[in-house]
Amino acid sequence: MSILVGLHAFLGEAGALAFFLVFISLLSPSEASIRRARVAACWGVIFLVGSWMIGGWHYLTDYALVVKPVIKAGPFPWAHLVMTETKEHVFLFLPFLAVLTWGLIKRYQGELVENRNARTAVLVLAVFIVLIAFAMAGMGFIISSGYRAALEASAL
Amino acid sequence: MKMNSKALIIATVGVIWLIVGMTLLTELSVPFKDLLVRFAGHHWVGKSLVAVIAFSGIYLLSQDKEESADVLKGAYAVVGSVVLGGLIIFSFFLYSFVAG
Repeated sequence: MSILVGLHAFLGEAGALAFFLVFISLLSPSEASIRRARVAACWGVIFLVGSWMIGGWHYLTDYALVVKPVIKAGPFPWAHLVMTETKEHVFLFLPFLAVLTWGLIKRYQGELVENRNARTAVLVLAVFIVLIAFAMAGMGFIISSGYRAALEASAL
Repeated sequence: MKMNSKALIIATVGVIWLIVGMTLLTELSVPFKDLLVRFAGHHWVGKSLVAVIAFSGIYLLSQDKEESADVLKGAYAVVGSVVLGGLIIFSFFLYSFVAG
């Protein structure tokens, strides 16, 4: 199994944790916690873009040449045909959601204490990013399981 | 540079639906898939690049719009687009698999 998979997953989950920190920081906003949220969101964008790049690298190399044909020939071809196909496209939403959230924090940073509308918007987006990122991890697990099942079936 | 929240939201919703559209079109239209491959070497890389260019372009074109007082409504529009767009993508590939 390629190290790229581990790095992709690590960066994705680091991005999720960064936006979880955004969410926690803005539940009771203060000047310090808003600054912390802005920095966390920036790191979240960097981690998710990194996960995008590394995931894409793996997808175009090891996954395309080795993993995909094995899964498709195995007992659970839907692990690629449904799960990977969905994941590789839904994942594309994440970096833009991250940039949006960071952008809103930057735009409203001086007002987030008293502007409940803007603060709630950032909270909703931050927690949504966390949920989507963890859904990506779940799909990744299903895909990896499909690969493992196919290897085991061919070994028996 | 002051960010424009309305432009950010319009760009995000726009790019989400562009990704959904490109995803379906890639599966249904060989010429479109070939166009993405010619553009970027691989259809998924092509979609990624088109999405980045479109997001930037839509934001720049929208940044003079007057900001809405209700940015939460925009956030819900984004969440709704992701949920619906994601369901469309998942359902499409599930149907394609089941239908063989």
